Amino acid sequence: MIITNAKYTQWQGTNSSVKATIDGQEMFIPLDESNRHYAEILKQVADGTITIAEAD
Amino acid sequence: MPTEISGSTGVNKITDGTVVTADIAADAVDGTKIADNAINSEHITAGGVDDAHLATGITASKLTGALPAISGAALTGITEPPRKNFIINGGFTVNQRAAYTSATAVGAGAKTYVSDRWAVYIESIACTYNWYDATIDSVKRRAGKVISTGTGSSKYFHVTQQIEYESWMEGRTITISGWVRTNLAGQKFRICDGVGCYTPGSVIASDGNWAYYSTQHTLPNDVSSYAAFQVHPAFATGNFTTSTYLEWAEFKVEFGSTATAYEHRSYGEELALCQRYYEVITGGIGMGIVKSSTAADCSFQPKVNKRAAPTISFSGTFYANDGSAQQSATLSSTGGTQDGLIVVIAFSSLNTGRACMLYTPSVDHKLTVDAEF
Repeated sequence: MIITNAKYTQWQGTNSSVKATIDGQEMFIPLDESNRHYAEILKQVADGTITIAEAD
Repeated sequence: MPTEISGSTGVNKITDGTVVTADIAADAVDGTKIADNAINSEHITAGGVDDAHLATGITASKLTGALPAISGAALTGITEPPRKNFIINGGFTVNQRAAYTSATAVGAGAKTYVSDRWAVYIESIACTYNWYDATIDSVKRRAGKVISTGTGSSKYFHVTQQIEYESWMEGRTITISGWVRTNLAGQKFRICDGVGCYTPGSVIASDGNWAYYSTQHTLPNDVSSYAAFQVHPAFATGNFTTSTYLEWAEFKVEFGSTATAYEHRSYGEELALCQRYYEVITGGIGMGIVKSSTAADCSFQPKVNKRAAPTISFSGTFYANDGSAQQSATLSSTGGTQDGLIVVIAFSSLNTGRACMLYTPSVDHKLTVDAEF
């Protein structure tokens, strides 16, 4: 997966998802490791490939 | 006075109603007194003969005409009931992501979901995917097809479906079966069960002809550490040209050591099974509340609860309407669970505190909910 522009988004004042562009498609990914997109984000963060920006 | 009736005195005639059931003592007439075919079936009332009096059962020759209903409990010798294929959308009838009626590009080495539940790619080589109705063994069967559009040596097809584990699958023998044809040598069925990956069974002929294969595998005794196992209709490294292909049809994974016939499900049933993993929503999406002049929280429930908290994406145009105005909307955040989802939308101006509806103008504009592996 090619992941860019990863950034936390919030609902009710707490981080609830990561907004990211994955393979050219903007997606909202829940903070759930059983979600394959979030698992890949965590992997790429651990590898140092991407970082997740804080929410506005 | 009682009168003995003997062979010498005889009885000329017994009229109807002369002898009633109460006049015949228990066991007064046993089987030896009734000659073969002496009692016509029309003289046996419903319930007239109970099970206890069928001492030696009924021979098959006596079972003629239409059989009465037989309950499932009376059926023995059947090890597994029907409707047991763990593969979902084996007939490629559900295609929520795209039509796939013509060759659709798949990036080199990029695991790409195509027809629902099926993911495909070729290692380091671009390819296309489509389904079509093939005539296989004189029967029309829908087949999936992956064909390389590049070249490379020692690469492999990665065509797979992942099947969710349940604890009751532990240690069970499964049979994998289906029709396959390819022009790449050395291909075999493959299963990755969490503990390892295996290629049991026969090598698939690379002569380009359809052939039916089946093989067995025993699942691990403890699957608690794994979310799923995955099956591949063909796997082995080989040398790809721009026309190396793999086609597969009517794939089946079932308990037991015998491959049974493929069973089609209705479209609605197959769609619901697929929607546990992926769902498209168009038209009316959900209701919400305008919490500021430029934002609203909307909630909706997917048609089917998802395997996991899903990824949400928008495609096309969306509108929010608070009853006084309609505004184009964009997605700014999401929340919720696999059962009920929340989307936070943004727009230029609506009335704070009002209810609002989130919707798309047509089926070409959609919200997707993705919980695939």
